[in-house]
Amino acid sequence: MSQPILEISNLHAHVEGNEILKGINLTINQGEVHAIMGPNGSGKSTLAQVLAGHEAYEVTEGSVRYRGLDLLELDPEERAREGVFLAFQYPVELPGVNGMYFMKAALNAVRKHRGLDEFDAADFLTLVREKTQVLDIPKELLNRPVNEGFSGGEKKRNEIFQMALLEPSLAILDETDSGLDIDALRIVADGVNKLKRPDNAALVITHYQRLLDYIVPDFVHVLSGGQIIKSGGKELALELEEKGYDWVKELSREGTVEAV
Amino acid sequence: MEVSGTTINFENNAITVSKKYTTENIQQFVDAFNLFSNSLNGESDSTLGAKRSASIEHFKVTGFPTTKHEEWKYTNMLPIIRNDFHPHLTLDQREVDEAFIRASGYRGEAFRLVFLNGHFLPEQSSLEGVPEGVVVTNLASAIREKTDLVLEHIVGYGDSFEHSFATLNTAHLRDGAFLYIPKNVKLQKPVHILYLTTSTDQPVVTYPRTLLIAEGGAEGSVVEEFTGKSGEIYLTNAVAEAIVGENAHLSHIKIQHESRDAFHIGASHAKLGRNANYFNNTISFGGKIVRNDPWAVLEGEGGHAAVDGLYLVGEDQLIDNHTSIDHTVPNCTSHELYKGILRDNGHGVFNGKIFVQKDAQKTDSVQSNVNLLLSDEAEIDTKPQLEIYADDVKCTHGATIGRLDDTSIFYLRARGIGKAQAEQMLTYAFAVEVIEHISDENIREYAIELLDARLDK
Repeated sequence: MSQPILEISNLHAHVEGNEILKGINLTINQGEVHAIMGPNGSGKSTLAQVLAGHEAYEVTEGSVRYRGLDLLELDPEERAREGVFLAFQYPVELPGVNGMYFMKAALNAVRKHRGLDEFDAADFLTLVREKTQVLDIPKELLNRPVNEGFSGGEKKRNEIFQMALLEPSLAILDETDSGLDIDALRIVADGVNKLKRPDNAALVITHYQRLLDYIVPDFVHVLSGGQIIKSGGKELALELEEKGYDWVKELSREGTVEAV
Repeated sequence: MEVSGTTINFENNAITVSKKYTTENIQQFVDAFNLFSNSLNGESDSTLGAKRSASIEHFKVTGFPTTKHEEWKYTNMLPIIRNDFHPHLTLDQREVDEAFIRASGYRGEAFRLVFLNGHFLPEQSSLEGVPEGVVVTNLASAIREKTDLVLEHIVGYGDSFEHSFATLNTAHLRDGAFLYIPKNVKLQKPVHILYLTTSTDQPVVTYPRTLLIAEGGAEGSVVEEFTGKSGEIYLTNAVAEAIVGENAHLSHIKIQHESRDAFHIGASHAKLGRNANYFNNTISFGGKIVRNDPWAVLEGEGGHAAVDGLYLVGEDQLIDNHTSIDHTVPNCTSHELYKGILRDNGHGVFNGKIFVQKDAQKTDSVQSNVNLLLSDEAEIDTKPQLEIYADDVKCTHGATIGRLDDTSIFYLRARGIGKAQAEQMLTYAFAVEVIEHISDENIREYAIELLDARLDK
């Protein structure tokens, strides 16, 4: 039986006094891809931010275990070094921070934490060359200041590139598909699929079903009103697409919440 | 009773101090001038002699500015002038610490003039391959060999007598750096002027003077660098003058990383001719109390002045930048960007004046002062100032004070980068914009090295 990577139980979280997450339960095992879908304002991005450790979100109840660690006790950088990776919905532009320098600093912080030798410039370049081939990302992008002036698609590809470099155990993709045309979507999804291994896992957060045509999930969860109100296999995504979010909201109101 | 007694003593001290400030401290500088003047032994040109005498006489009357003076409101001179500074009248060869000199300052490709405690060190300088017609030398040699050229241009600044320290510099005018680029000559390598100071037995004061002349159509790049041995107390009181001829391009960079216990007062004055292009960049890292007064005057139509600066102010440090850009004729442009990083209990001052005179129609001027406050105890006093006497101009100015962006810090931390390193990366990113305006790649990289080293601490 595969090992659990992430175990979220009864997670409640506030931001600026408003309760956004109202008791999330979710277990992700090695080798699995989970998708979280839900209408706007359901708490999808809050869940991603809480897992990455954003200080604006206050956890008021519940626990998150990640590979045997109490995730909520760790600083954001410690989580990243332990292998949690959040692909941001809105990647931040960092004028004046060179992309290569940034990624080398990130990679070496992670390697140092894992007791590995830090990469020098030459090793790092070799690795970058290898990953750019796998992900088909233009090298010019990487030498520019991080995300500055990038198109929406370029920013998302840069997130996936960083993910490829850092080789996380748990990748959280927060609406990576938003703002992408179909070609960019295919490239991003292709990148994610290539990084899949039996010992890691991914949590794909999306509003639309179309990303899941390319990243096929093992499980689909519907988040609404800060709770997972329905879980199922990949076919649930198609059903949602067909019937719309009103359907699950009605299910939720009727109290016919199904759990897997 | 004891408490009131202490108060009385304190007041007595205060009176004594202020008395010293007005007479004894000034007398000390006058006495030092007399020693200096006697040491000249008539080596000097009489015109310059008259300039010196006029300057010291003027100084005797005005003395040093107090904080009641609007231009010196935040910068108290007392901690500087109460030191027993002496000019270093002669240099013994045994004082030339070659290892220290070689380890100090920019070492990249350049024509180089090196000074120690105000004295020119020809053996430490490198002037091979200076193109024909171009003169790169020490000012004392230029006064002897290019007397007319020097006299035509020098002491433009000191004549105004508005800046006591500049006046004192003119009184002590003897040596410094000299650059002359004749008409239409493009200097390929930058000129590096390294002013080093070390205090041996007693605190030293130096009065370096730089004169830069770019004739019509000439192009050149100059970096003046000021540094000294860490932990030593000294005063650098520098003046630079730049004459930028018609269609000439001159890049004039100042990098100041003096000892953190030293004092630095530096003024510069540039005159721009028709269609001239002048780039001034003042980078301040060192010193306990630092004051920069760059001043650019647009005297010919079509001229462009870029006046940039970066100041990194740390514990127990005050860096005060007072800049002036004076548009006196129509159709000129100017661009100013000053960025400051304030840490610990550091204190920064920015006062940027843009004058647009009555005739200076169609002036286009942009000024911006941006400050990054990294500590609750740090202080910045900023005052952008426009004085416009023409009616058809485009001028914008602004000052901001901010902190590091939390979202950016979180993004870096979410990639495994620790909080302290994330803050350092973003601080570097904030500062590097000013350095990136330097066109010479080697000097740019050198300035970045210095910035990195300081942010590491």
